[in-house]
Amino acid sequence: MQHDPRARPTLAVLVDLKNGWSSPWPRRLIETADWNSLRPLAELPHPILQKAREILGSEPVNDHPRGLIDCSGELRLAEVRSSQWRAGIWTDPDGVRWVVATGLAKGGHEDGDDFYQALAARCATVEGRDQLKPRDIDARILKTETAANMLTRWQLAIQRECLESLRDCPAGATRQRPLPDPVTGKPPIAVLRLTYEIEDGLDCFLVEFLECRRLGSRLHHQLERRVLTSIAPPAPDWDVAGGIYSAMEGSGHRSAQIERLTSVDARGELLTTEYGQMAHYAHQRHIGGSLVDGEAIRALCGVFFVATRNPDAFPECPACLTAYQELR
Amino acid sequence: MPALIEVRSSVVPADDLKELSSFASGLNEGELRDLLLALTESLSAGFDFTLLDSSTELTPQQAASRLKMSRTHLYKLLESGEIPSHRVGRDRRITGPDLVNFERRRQAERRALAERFARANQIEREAIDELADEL
Repeated sequence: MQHDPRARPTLAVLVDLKNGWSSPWPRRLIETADWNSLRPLAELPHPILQKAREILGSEPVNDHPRGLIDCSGELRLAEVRSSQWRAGIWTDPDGVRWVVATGLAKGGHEDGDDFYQALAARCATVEGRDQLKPRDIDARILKTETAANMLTRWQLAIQRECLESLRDCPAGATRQRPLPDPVTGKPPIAVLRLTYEIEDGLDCFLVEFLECRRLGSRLHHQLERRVLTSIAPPAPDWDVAGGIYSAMEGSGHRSAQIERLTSVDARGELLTTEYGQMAHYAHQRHIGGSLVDGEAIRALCGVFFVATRNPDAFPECPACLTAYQELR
Repeated sequence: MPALIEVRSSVVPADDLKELSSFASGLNEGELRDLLLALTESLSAGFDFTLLDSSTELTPQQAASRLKMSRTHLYKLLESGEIPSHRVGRDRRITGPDLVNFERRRQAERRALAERFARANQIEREAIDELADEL
């Protein structure tokens, strides 16, 4: 997958860009160096950044050739203007467009505050020019953004495979299909084996992952959650034993789920994992550990969960209540 | 007597354990005394117990019902040998000890899954980093 081709600022530019923002939140995030929350960097609300990505946008083939800023010398920075704002764009060897300089054109100011004067001073030396270029952290942020987009597209593809799997699988059958790797060109990340049975009037599903190529990685865990959520969104419904996952859902779940998946797929959306809607009883001794370390604890009713939310907001689990009353 | 008795430390009152422990200390030395003392000590330490008659055997249906598991799931595990079993005619039997061992492994897998579900956001961030490393 290609990087987003729109012109994007380096962190150095963001740190120095103190004024002119259309909104206060970016400055706050920049001040706390919260780069993750600022992403994607090609969508920040500042007129000069907006103009830069308009001019050097999603379809580089359609970009009009830009005038170069003379004083930038070998850097050959393309010039972008938005009222008094100016920006210099550098295209790296991979074709990524970076906003490496911004400022106001103050024409004839003596305090060196003018964009062109400041830029000329920096471009006068080799070190100065090199310092303008993006650093490792800029490259890392770009890769992270690209990876985040890849992950979303990949999950949509996985969700689609689960939809096809459900469609293909009549009651009493097992179906296998390969699941694509997030990186194009690589062999499948795993083979999904789905079994569908009707047991005591309930829709029962078994999920197995065969020939796993990234076993134990976070990508594998992401795959696990995406597949399970696609077949049955409620997380507490899933049992796992011997590497096989199983869920028992109400009668008619399969057709209802096929409809739900078809509808989200058409909108290009991912189904959300649903978490427990009940407050459980568990021994006081274990709850602290769960809150602090995220360890899963076993409720009186047998379900495993991690204590992350305030139980007062939820109705009490009837199975836990019965078990608790039997103790007294 | 039921085939399996489960005793979970989290539901046994501490006072009862103390009483049982004192009572057991007063017994004649022997296997019964040892058993009761080991039981009270382990329960106090937070370990859960399952008591069963050594000759206990269950059918797959009984096992699935007791474990609150899908029969389809259980049968698959019997076929793969993940849960040991022996044949009695056309059916199978699972021994108590084998069932208890399996249940222990199942609990560990279920616990790990619950933890992963709870950490979904963190796992997603880390998955993005894994992918970014490959770019």
